[in-house]
Amino acid sequence: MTPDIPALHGDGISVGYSGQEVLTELSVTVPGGRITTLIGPNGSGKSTLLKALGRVQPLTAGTVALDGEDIHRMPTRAVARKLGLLPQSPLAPEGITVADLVRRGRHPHGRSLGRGAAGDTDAVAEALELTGTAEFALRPVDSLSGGQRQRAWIAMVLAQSTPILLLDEPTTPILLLDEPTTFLDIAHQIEVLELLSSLRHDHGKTVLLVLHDLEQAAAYSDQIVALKQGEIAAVGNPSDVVTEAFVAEVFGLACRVIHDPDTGSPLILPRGKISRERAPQPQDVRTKEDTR
Amino acid sequence: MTVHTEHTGHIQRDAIRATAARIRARARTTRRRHAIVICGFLLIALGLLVAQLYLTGDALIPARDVVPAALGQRDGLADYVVRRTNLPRGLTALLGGALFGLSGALAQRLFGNPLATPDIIGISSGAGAGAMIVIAGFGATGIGVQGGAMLGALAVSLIVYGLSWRGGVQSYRLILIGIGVGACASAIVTFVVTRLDEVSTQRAMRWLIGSLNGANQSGVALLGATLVIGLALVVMIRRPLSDLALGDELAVGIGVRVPIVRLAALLLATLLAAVVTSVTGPIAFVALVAGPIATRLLRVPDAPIVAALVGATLLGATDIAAQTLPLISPVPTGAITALFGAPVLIALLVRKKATV
Repeated sequence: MTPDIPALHGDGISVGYSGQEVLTELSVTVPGGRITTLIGPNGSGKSTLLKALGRVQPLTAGTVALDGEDIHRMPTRAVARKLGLLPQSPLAPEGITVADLVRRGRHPHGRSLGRGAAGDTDAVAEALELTGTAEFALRPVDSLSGGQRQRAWIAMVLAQSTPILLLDEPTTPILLLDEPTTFLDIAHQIEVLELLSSLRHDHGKTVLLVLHDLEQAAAYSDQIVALKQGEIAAVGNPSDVVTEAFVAEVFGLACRVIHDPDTGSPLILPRGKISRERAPQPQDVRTKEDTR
Repeated sequence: MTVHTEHTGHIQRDAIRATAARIRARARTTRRRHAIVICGFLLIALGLLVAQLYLTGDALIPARDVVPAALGQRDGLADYVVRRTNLPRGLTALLGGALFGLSGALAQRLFGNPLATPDIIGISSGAGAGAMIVIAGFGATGIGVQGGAMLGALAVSLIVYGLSWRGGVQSYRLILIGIGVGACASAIVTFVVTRLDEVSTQRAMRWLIGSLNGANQSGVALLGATLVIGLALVVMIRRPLSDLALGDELAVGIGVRVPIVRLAALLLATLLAAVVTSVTGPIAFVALVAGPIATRLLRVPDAPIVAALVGATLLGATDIAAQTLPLISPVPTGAITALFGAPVLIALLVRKKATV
């Protein structure tokens, strides 16, 4: 796939839940062989846009084209061979092992009845190795930590062997209903992003992400699409998009943006009240407790 | 581009090969476990059928005459007891149990809730109301009662699904509405029964408690045909149906036509329950417990076909117990499935993570 052909193109997409518009006549292009990341504050419609582009969210208006073809007119299994999708909180059938979960990513391939296609097990094993989940392969998904579980699901989507991957917050752990919220260790977050980056660079995959972390989004993306209240606030490469004015406007955060001395990627230094107070007195070593 | 060499280069081919070998070995173990469980249940079912022939019935038939009589080589009393009474009764118990198990497992998977089985969500009560109305209103017997029961079951399921539909069916809503509509149907049953004459009352009560007493060859043929068709359809939708447990979005993501699969599973579970209830009466708990027992035996997320086998052996064994157990026999079979089934239901409810 050449980068010039948009892998996915949404044209005039509108989405509404029970009369309330979440996305308003929004057009977006996901270039082939690139990493595109959707960013924006909570409730800005990032996940909805990702789902709309992945044909799991019904549109109230507009079209989505997959390699130039209307995605809603294609058989959903045919779409599933081109486009893999990981929603934000997938469910695990109780008691399923990691290997069996990942094998479900093979379901679009081969016949819909009976045993899967030849080579399924190899694809599953490869996805497990790539995501570092091979050691848990035969364990039940519910026995893993949230981070391990997230990687198991990424493995499932990789086993689908699609040229396009749509991942909603792949650096966030997947939790069971009764588990407290946690975060993925920073090293594991970076591992996930490095994996996606290598899929893009070495295998020409098209990746569309939703990420919360602006700096990670900037560091790993070729294109940033910023949303605010269901409309596109900015599109472009990370250095052009992520500026002080942009962060103030879209996220309502006063900040300074500097550039990573090694990579040139933008870094955001929040300038809230405390950091402004502290700025003129660099010698002052107040602790968090003192400032309360 | 072959699938399994797509990403290699970065990581050890050997590691992939070793992982694949481990997965294959586990898959072989799982398949062997499946085969053992299925063969085991088929043997038990056969044993139960034989036990039904030898142990039950109104008159004791000499042991050496039982098998020939079953094959139609005797006449008179032996033929009547073995071939016309015990054999259809044993087959009805096994086939009916299989259908209850299958429909229960389908509904549990479809709604993602172990309580969402046809007997809990009012379909059985609907069948009862339908049967009572035709018994009282038209003096129906046999096929007529079956037809009324089937219509009642379908009517109640339409009402329950219709009322719980909110752009999709949520299982807790479905269960609550099902219990409510089921209670209405039960009220109709009670009302109609009080208006029946004595003969009809007896017939009605026996059907309502779920007795296999009146089993006959046409019932067996209906159940057999339904089971064959039902199993074939279940095999067709088994995989996409189990993918629904991943959540709708991910299921669509891997190519499942979610609305079609849901509709197919819904129709199938409802029709199977309606047919079997129309023949045996509303036998409780088999549909509820067969699925969970099957998944625990196999240690897989869902196993509709083994659930059918579990249901068959459960009802087959219960039916023999109902006829032969000292102290309590003879009782209608439906009365003691509840006796055995209720503790299982309570255990399922008490367990922290009740599952399908």
